Amino acid sequence: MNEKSPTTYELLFGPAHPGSGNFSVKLRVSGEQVVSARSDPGYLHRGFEKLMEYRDRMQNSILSDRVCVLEALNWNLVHAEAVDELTGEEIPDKARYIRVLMAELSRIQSHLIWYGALSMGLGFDTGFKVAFGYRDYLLDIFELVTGGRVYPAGYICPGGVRRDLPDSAKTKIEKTLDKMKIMLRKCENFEKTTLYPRTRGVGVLERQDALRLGATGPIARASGLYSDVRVDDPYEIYSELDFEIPTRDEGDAYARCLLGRLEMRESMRIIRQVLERMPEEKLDPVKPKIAHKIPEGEVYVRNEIARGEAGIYMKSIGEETPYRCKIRGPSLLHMIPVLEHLLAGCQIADVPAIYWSLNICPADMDR
Amino acid sequence: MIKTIWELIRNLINKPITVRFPKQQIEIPEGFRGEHKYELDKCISCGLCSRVCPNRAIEMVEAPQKHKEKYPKKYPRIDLGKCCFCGFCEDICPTDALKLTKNVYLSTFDIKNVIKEPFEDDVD
Ligand code: SF4
Ligand code: SF4
Repeated sequence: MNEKSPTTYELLFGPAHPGSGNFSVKLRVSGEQVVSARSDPGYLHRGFEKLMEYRDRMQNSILSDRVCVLEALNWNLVHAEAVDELTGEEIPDKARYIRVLMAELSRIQSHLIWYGALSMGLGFDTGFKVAFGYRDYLLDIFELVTGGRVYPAGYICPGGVRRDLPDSAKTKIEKTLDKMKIMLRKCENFEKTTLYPRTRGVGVLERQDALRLGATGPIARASGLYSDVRVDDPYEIYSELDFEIPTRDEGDAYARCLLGRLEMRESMRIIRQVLERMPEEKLDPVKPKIAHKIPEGEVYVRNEIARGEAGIYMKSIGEETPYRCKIRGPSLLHMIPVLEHLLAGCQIADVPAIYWSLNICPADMDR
Repeated sequence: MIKTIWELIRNLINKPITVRFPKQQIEIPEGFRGEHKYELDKCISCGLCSRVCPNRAIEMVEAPQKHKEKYPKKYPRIDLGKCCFCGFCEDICPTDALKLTKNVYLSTFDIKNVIKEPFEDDVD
């Protein structure tokens, strides 16, 4: 409380706030208006970068699940690619297809959480329940393919994947995609009726600010920046696939939310193509090995995950374990500079809308 | 408006997305990573499972006295409280002596149940 002006005070948004996740923002508020905001991260630090220095490649793929719980498979892929690049191992074609298939399913799943969390932040419980209900159909696929619903346990691992796709998976995924279509239709209705009036013009991130503050992924694309690692620097089989990168120019919370739905549609397109072209042959699953050394070298790989650009820098000195592993999560820049920039000057009531529209994950920023 | 009413009617007729657990359950598919199952007769005590385990949940222990004759070596004892159900122990076992099953009902109030002894009757 400021003595001179009793209406100026500090307000804590999180970490115990139901709508903030394990993250906190300190807001300086004057009346109903936020004067400035300061992000306060670190509540979910688990020290993965250090832990990885003590584990071998397969054990690290399990850790990579947990970098961001909401899209474990995408992080698996980033880690696997980093090690693959160091070892120079040839990945079987089918494994590449399965990797992209699972990564895209994971992207849809993550966008559904985004959608649900944003709805919840706006006090729109129906949207939250519908999004999380449909997400469960995707978890059913993960359960069938990887053996776990949320944690795939390093399913996408260095050298390929840990299991071949089960025979029933293809029909199951196709059926689920049909269900997702219904879901997208529902999302569209919600957008018009509920999200539009609440998010339109809220938290506008200008194009030059997005560039300056280092926004990536859907956040940058909602501000009119055409950038996507899948196109700019294609990995796996993305260069062979036909898909679009939706962008919007408005840069507000509504544009970001809309982009989430458009990206889900594009991911579904990718999945259908991958299923069509999936090689028929049987795939040898990758099994863990003892004393499996990683050749000397250092790499930096980057991937497009649901939240933006994810990267792993890995240095190996020829031991089983990496010498250093640095993880670059997309949420870090979205949660500190971008969020602080957007919150300054907004209304208190708009804080959750802005916060959740950034598709953030405290787990991948704290690591 | 018509769309909303149509949605309402559809939702009235549609079944809920959830099931009535525990009366009804969603079937767990094959290959799920749940509780472990031993087949000790196959185990050759190579210790690979305990070496590969990322959480050091497996300890190689000797059999209790009454089984010593039949099982002279060391066998894996799993601490399910530490296990993350990654399935590496299953994957690396050369003789399929250790397998993950579909059992997911593992919550317990008794810490003794968390340790999975290779020789069950030894627990008490
Ligand atoms: S499933 Fe994984 S964590 Fe659990 S005992 Fe086996 S190797 Fe260890
Ligand atoms: S269970 Fe399998 S891996 Fe473990 S000691 Fe026995 S044979 Fe070796």
